[in-house]
Amino acid sequence: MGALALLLFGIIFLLILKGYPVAFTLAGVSTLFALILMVFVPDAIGMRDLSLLPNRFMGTIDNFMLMAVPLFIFMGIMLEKSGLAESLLETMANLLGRLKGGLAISVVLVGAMLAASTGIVGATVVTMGVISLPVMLKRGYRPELATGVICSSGTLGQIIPPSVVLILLAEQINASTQGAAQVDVGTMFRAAFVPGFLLVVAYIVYIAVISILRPHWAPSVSPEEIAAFRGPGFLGRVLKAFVLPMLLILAVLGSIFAGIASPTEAAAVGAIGATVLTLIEGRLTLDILRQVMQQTAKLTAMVFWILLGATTFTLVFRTLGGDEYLTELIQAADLSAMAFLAIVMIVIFICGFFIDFIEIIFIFVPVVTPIFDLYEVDMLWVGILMAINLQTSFLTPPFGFSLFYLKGVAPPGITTQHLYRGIVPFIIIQVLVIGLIVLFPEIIYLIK
Amino acid sequence: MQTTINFLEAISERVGRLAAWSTALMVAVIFFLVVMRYGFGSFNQQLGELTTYFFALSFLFSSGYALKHDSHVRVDLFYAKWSERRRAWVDLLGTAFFLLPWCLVAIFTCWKYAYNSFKLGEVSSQPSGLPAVWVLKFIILFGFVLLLIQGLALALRSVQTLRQR
Amino acid sequence: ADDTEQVGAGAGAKQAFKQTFDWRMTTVWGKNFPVFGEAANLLSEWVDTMSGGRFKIKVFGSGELVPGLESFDTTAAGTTEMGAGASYYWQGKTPAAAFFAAVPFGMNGQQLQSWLIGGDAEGYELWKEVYAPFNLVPFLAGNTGVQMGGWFNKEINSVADLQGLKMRIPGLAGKALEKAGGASINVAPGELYTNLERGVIDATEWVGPYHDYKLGLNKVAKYYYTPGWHEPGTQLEFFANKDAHDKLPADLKEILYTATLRVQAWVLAEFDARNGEYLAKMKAEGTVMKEFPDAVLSALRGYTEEAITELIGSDPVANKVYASYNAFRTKAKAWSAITERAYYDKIEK
Ligand code: NA
Ligand code: NA
Repeated sequence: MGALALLLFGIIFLLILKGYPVAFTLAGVSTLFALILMVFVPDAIGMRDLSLLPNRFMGTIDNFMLMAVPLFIFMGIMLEKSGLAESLLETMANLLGRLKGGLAISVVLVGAMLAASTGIVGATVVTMGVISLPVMLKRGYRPELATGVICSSGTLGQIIPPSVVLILLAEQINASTQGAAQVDVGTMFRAAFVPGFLLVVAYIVYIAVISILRPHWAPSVSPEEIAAFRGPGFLGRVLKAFVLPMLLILAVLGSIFAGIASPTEAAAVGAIGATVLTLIEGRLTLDILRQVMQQTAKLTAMVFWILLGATTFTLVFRTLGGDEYLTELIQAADLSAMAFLAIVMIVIFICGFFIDFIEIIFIFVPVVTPIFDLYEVDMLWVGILMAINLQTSFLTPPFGFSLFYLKGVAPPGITTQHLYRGIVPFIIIQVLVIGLIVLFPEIIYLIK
Repeated sequence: MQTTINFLEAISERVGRLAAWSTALMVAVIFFLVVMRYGFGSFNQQLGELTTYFFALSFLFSSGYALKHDSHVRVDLFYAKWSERRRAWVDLLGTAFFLLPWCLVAIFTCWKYAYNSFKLGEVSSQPSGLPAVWVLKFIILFGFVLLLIQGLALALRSVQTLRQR
Repeated sequence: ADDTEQVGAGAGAKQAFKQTFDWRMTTVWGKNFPVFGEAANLLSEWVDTMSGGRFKIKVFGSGELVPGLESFDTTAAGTTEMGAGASYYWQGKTPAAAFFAAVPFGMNGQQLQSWLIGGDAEGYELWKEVYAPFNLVPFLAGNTGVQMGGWFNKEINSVADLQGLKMRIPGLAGKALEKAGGASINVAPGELYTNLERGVIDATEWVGPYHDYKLGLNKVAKYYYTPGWHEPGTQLEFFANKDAHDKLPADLKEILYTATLRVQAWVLAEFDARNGEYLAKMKAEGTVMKEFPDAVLSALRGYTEEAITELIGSDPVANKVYASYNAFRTKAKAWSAITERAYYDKIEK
C-alpha cells in the first residue's frame, strides 16, 4: 500500500506541471486516485476514509492562528494603497544609496520585522510580495533576485520567535520524550533566535555581494537621485517616509510585546493601523476600500484552497499508508545518530513539497523523538534543525508553498521560472546555516 | 452557452464581492475584542467565536470568485508558453478530472457532516458561546458548491475556446 | 448426528476465534501526550495482547487523522471505531455531557468513579443513555485526580481581585468566572505560553505539576494556586461506535471493557506519581505556592451553581443526570467527611 502512496506522490508531481491550479490538482488527483482504487483495490481505501474530509477541513477553519493570513494580507494591500510602503522602501534605498542592493536589504529587514510578529508563512510572503515586489521591479531589479529575496525573507517568520512551527515542535517533542529532555516553548524560542539572526545576516551579505558582482541585477540609485534626495528638505522627507510606517510597525510589535494583543490579534491591530494611515494620507475612499477587500479575498482564497488541497492529499496519502512507509524507512535503518538525523532531515524535506508543515510535525516528530532519545541526542538542537529544514522546504522548487504564494501575487510578467532560479542562492544559504548549526551546536545556546 | 456562463459567473462575482467584506468584519471584531480585553478586562465569548465564522467566509465564499479571476496559483513553467487552445484543454480536462470529483466528494461528505450537526441543533461547546455551530459547517459546504459553479463556467469557457477555429 | 453438530460448532467457534478486528481510535489529545495520550496507547497494547492479536486498535493523535475535537463526530458516524477524550468537550451536542467529566465544586475522582461503576452503576447507565442517540458506547479512561487551580501573575486575595481577571478557563468554570466579573478568554493552544508571558492574560489553568512543568508555565507565571476548584477530578473517556462494538464477539467485548478499567487505574496512579515528583522539582526551582481564599471559593461556588442551572435549562436529560449526580454526591460527601477528610485533617497533618 505504501507503494501506492508514493505512486500518488509521483503522479501529482507530474500533473502539477501541466498548469492547472495547484490546489485543485493536489486535491483532485488525490480524490480521483482514491475513487479509482475503491474500484480496483477496495482494501486500500473506501468512501469511509474520504468521509473524514469535512472533519479535516474543519481543522483549517478552527485554527485561530491561521486567521493571521487574511488579516496580514488586508494590512499589506492597504499599506500598498496608502503609498507609504513604497515611499518607506524608496527612502531606505536612498539612505542606503551607496550600498548596492540597498532596496533588497531593506526588504529583508522589513521581512524580519514582520517575522517577529507572526509565524504564518502564507501571511508574510503574500504581504511582502504585495508591498515590495512592484517597488523592486520598478527600480529595475532582476526578477529572480527580487522574488528570491521576498520568498526567503517571507519565511523568516517560521524561525524568528514567536513562531507556530517552534511551538508545535516543542509541544510534540515534549510529549514524546520521557522526562529528561525539557524542550519547552520558551527554551525553543531562545534557541531559535541566533539561527534566525544568522539567516538574516547571511541574506544581507549575499545581496551585498551579488550587487557588487552583478551590478545590473540590483541597480543602485543614481547619484543624481541621491543628490536630489540629500538636497533641501532631506530630513523632512526621511521623517515623513519613516514616521508613519514605523508607527504601524510599532503598533503591531508593540501590542505583542506589551501584552496588549496575541500575535494573531496583532495582525488585526496592523490592519486597522494601515487603514488609519491610508486615511491620514487622504487616499481612503470607498472605492479603494472595495479594491482592498476584493484583492484580500482573492489572495486569501488562493492561500487557503492550497491548504485544503494539501489536507485532501494528506488524507489519501496517509490512508494508503504513505506515512507509515516513510517512518518505517526511517526506523528500519540501523544507523549511527548522525546518519539517522540525516535521513530524518531528508524525509521531512521531501514531504515539505506537498504536506503542510503542521502535519509533517504531527507525522514525524512522535516517531523519531524516542529514537533520538535512545541516541541521547540533544532534542533542542534537533528541534531547531527541523525548524530550519521545514522553513527551507517552503522555498524549494518545484513545489515550495512560499513559491506558490508569491506567484499568486506576482504581476503577469513574473513566471515560475524566475521564482525557481531566484530561490537557488537562498536555498544554498539555508543549507549552509543548517550545516553551521550541525557543526557548532553551541550556536543555539548563545542566548540563555 | 454564453448565457449559462454569464449566469454562473454572475453568481461567483456577486457572492465573492459580498463575502469579501468578511475580512473587514473580522478585523473590526478582533480589534474590538483586544480593546475590550486590554482596556476593560472583559471578553465576549460569542464575538470571539464569531471571528471564526467570518474567517471561514473569507476564503470559502471566495472560492469561485478567485477561480473566475484566475487567482488560484498555477505552476506555469509550460502553461505560460502554450497556445490558447492547449491551455483550454488543460482547463477543461483539469476541471473534469480534478476539480469536479473533488467538489462532488466534498459536497457529498460535507452535506452529511453539516446536516447531522443541524439535525442535532449543535451549539458551541462553551456555555456562553454561539447557539448554532452547524452554520459553520454549512459554510464549508457552500464554499465547495461555489467552487463547483465556477468550475462549470470555466469548463464551458474552455469548450467555447476549443470550438473556435 | 451429535458428532457432526459438535464438529460444526467447533469449526464455527474456531472461525470466530480467527476473525480479527482492526479499529482506528482518534484522540482529543496530541500523539503520546503525557498520560492522556499514553493511556490510549496502553489500551491498544493491552487489548492486542489479551486478545492474542485478534483485536488491534490503531491510535491517532489529534491532527493525525482528524483534529482531536472531531473524534466524537467521526466515531458517531462510524468512520472511526473509537475515540478518546473527556465528555465535557461534547456539551454543545448534548448538555448532559457536562456531568461525566468534571463539574466545578463537584465530585472528586474517587466519588465520581463510585457514581459511575459502584453501587447500582447509576452514573454509567445514564452515561450510556446520553451517548446512545449518537450511536456511541462510553468507557472509563482514567481520572486526573484533583487538578491545580492554575498559574497567576496577579494575586487573588479577595473576590474583588476576580474583577477584570483575564484567565484562560473554559467551560462552566469560565462561565462562573464571568459572573464574578472576570473574563474567560479563548486562547489558541499555540499562543498560551506567549500570551501568559506577555500579560495578554493574567492567568491560566492547565492540569497539574507534571503537565504544567512540561509546558514551561512555571517560567512565565509567578504564583501557582490551589485547589483546582474548576476540575476536582476530571474523568476521561473512551467511546466506541455502537455498530462496531456490537460486531465484537463476547470475549473481545469483555477484553475491551477490562482493559479500559486497567487504564482507569493506571491513569490516576500515573498522575499522582508524576505530580508528586514534579511538584518537588518545581518547588526546588522556586515556584511560589498560593491558596485561594475561602471567600473567593465560596463566591465562585455560588456562580457555578447558577451556571449549571442555566446549562441544564429545559433539557430533560441533563436535568435527570444532574439530579442523580447530586443525590449521589450528597451521600458520598457525608461518607468522605468522616473518612477521607478525617484522614487528611487528623492523620496526614
Ligand atoms: Na515569528
Ligand atoms: Na485543567
